[in-house]
Amino acid sequence: MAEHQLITRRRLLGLFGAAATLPVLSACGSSVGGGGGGGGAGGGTVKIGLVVPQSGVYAALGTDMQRGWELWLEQHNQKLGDYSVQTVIADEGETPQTGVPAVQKVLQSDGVDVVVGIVNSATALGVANLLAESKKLLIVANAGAADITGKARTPHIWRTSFTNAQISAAMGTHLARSGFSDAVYAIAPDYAAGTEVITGFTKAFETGGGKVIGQAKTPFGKTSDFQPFLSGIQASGAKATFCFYSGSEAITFVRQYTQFGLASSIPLYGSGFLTEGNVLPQQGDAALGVQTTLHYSDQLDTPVNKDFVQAYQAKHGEAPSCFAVQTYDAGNVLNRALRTASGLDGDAVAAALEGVGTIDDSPRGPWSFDGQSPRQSIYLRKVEKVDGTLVNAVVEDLGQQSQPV
Amino acid sequence: MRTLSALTAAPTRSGGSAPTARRPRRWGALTGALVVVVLATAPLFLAPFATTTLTRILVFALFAVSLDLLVGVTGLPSLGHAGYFGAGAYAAGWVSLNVTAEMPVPLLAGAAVGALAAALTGWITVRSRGVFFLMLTLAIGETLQQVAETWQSVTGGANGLTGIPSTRIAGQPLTNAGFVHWYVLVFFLAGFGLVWMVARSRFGAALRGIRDNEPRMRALGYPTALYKYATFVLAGGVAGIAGALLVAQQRLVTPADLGFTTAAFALLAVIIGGAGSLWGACVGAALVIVIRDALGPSLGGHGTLVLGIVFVVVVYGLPRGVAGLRRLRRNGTDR
Repeated sequence: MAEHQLITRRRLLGLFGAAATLPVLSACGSSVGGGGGGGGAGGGTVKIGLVVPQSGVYAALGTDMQRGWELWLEQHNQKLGDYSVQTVIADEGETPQTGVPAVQKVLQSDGVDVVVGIVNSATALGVANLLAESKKLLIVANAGAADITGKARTPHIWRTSFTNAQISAAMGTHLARSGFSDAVYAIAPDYAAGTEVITGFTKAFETGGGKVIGQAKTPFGKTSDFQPFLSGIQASGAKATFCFYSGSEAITFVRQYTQFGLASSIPLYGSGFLTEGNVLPQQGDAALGVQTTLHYSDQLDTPVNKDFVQAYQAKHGEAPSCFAVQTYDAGNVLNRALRTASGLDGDAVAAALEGVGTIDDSPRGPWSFDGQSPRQSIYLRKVEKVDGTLVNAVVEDLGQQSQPV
Repeated sequence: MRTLSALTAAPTRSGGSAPTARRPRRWGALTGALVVVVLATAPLFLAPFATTTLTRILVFALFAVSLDLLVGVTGLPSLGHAGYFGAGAYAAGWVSLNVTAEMPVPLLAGAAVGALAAALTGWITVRSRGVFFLMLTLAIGETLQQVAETWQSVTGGANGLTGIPSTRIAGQPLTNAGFVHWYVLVFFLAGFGLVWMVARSRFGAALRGIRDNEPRMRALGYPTALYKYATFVLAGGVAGIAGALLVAQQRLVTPADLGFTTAAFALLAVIIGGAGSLWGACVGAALVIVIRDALGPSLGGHGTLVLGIVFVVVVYGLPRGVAGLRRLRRNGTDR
């Protein structure tokens, strides 16, 4: 018996060993001395590393982003500029612990020319030195921290998504002139993005003459019962609530806000992620009437967006989210940049991106780079029921906004 | 299996003078030397990504070894050990950003803060056992992560500390993956050696005694709480060194580094390797990092699943981890 087991165990260990050598075998070379750049750009092929979450809480975003990217390529002959495209997908996971190695893998092991993706802001900030050292370009297609293209800006990181404060500032200005200026309550999870959103909102709101009469920060990712906070809102005498939640917290918050009976007396406003993508159907009718600001809605009534939504829906059976659009647009800007870029290294592509001008064929409407982050229209949206489906109907275009300073 | 009196069992386990143990020990020394040579020359023939993965393995292995001192040697299964690893990493990162990145400073800061955090929290935890110890350490780990996430001015909040400068040796920054590897290797070996010596010493024998039968050790006159406390602080300090090495390698610290997942992965590494065998913890750490960092990104989101399967297979197939294999071979009719 013991002898028999021994053999299985040995075999097992061998298996582990074989698995461990696998990535190493494909990785011979030298790490000392001049760090020669990744594989050259010959043959008119551009290699793209699409680093999006395929596991963890952001996996749904990752799916949307991958679909957006693939749709762009499919509609454009698998080409960016004159280059045919080869995409390597890597799993960003949830945190920089998995995200940073994933970016490093596509850069150093797969030798990609451009990296696209990144949901987590900490990951986007954490890979800056990797990109600088390998002289490659990253197009951030989601992560919204201001620092990425602000205080911690590096020439090789560009963004096609948004900044946290850009979206909430538009709401601040809007609420200040909508009759709520004397009493708004602000609530968000207690972490970096929550703080950025609330700060951006408060700044714009107060500039417009508004007054935030109460504020709460809920433990991030750990709050499932918002009742204590909701009674705080009720007791504050607020006329409206501004909030920032996403994912499962967005579902519980919106539901409990309605169940608590606040929705009818104190209208709920929020940053667009509150009702974006796959959280909306799960919030159900509780979300009706919630108003949010975002740089996109699948309800935008433009020919470009209608074509985009139709193509996306035909393929995946659901409406596209802003996450899909952001990655679709990453394809769009790269396509424009690679037409004029002198090479595929970070400096050349960055220089070409500076000259792309207005992106006039984006589903979100025309936008352009201001610095390395989009200057774009922010839309006021309201959750409505159209043909039995909840949608973010567009109420108003709040105008073009840059990343707030 | 461990019915022998703890004190007599300990020396035979770690070699001692028993003739049966001499041969494996010599082989062990030879294998150890070979592994060190391979690790030291690896950057010469490995590409940067493979070298960096190897460096990550060393960092995580040192962390796992410090945890193994608690789990395997002393019998204290901690779920919050990542807290001290992360505290050391934050300290090293903060010092590099705000004071100096000159060589011994971030490392010493990491070790000191890791040990200090363990000293402050350990006094409560070591007085408990079993499930209570598990819950207390879990709570402390979660608290430390919460602190990291909310103390924005020092820790950078959820975005962590980024843009940390490379460690400098005599004014020269360590940017090259190979040099970083050697730097990490030197301190990995020092840390491993320290823990190994502690585990082999009389003090270590007493720790194993505490693990196997604490009331008896207490009856023999050992101040067991003090022994456990000292070990807890030492393990915290070594975890802090590992944290400082992490910063030297990835130049980034985020709350995830001191989160539950990190603590659980380290425990996983210890169990895969075989609790109590320090080199086993290193093998376990290698497996965890290779799956998570090198294979994980290309597994279409199933990296954690693979780790889970490996864990289940190990628990069923190798109840004493990888280290148990050696013992089986040495003594075919072990059980």
